[in-house]
Amino acid sequence: MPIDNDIRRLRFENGEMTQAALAEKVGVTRQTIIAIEQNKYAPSLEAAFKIADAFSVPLESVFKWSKG
Amino acid sequence: MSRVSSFRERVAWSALSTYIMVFFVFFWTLPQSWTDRAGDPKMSLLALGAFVLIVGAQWLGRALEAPKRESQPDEREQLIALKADRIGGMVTMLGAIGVTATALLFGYNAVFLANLVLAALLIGQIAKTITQLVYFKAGA
Repeated sequence: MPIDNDIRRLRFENGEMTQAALAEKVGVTRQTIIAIEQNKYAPSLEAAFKIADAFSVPLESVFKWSKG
Repeated sequence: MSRVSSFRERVAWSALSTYIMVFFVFFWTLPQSWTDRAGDPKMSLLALGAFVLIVGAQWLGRALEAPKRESQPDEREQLIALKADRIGGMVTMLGAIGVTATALLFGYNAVFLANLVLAALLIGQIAKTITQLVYFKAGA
């Protein structure tokens, strides 16, 4: 998948935020957070913004798109 | 990292195992009725009743047992449901075409054709559930 993310690092930097806690903030299931973190699922734009908001960082600090 | 199944994934597993268990006998008897081209209407009605009961029980169970925060499917689960519906629908449609062709070509009686329609519906449901489980494992 050409979209990579830094969710694992950001969770670590935010006091080892659990996947369940992040899922609660974003309003999705923990399994969806796991799938996003492992690059198995590309979230919707809304969910992506909510994830960035949960870490109080801009979207591009969470998700990176590699061309080609 | 532990792999914990979501509520809907567990529901899909239980649905698949129930379909296979309950309809094992039905599918077992279908080839036997093929030879006399008739089929047992009692068995068909029983299978149809069980099918309606299972689907109804699943709806009820989902409504009552879903954890509060999982009462509504999230975006990934909705996407998986749509993909599974598409595959299940295609399989059911192919089954319906097969049954129609069988009726037109061989002119089997209504009870036997009803058995085939029921089989097509069930295979469609099983295909849908398996697709869901595959996508739950794969991510989406």
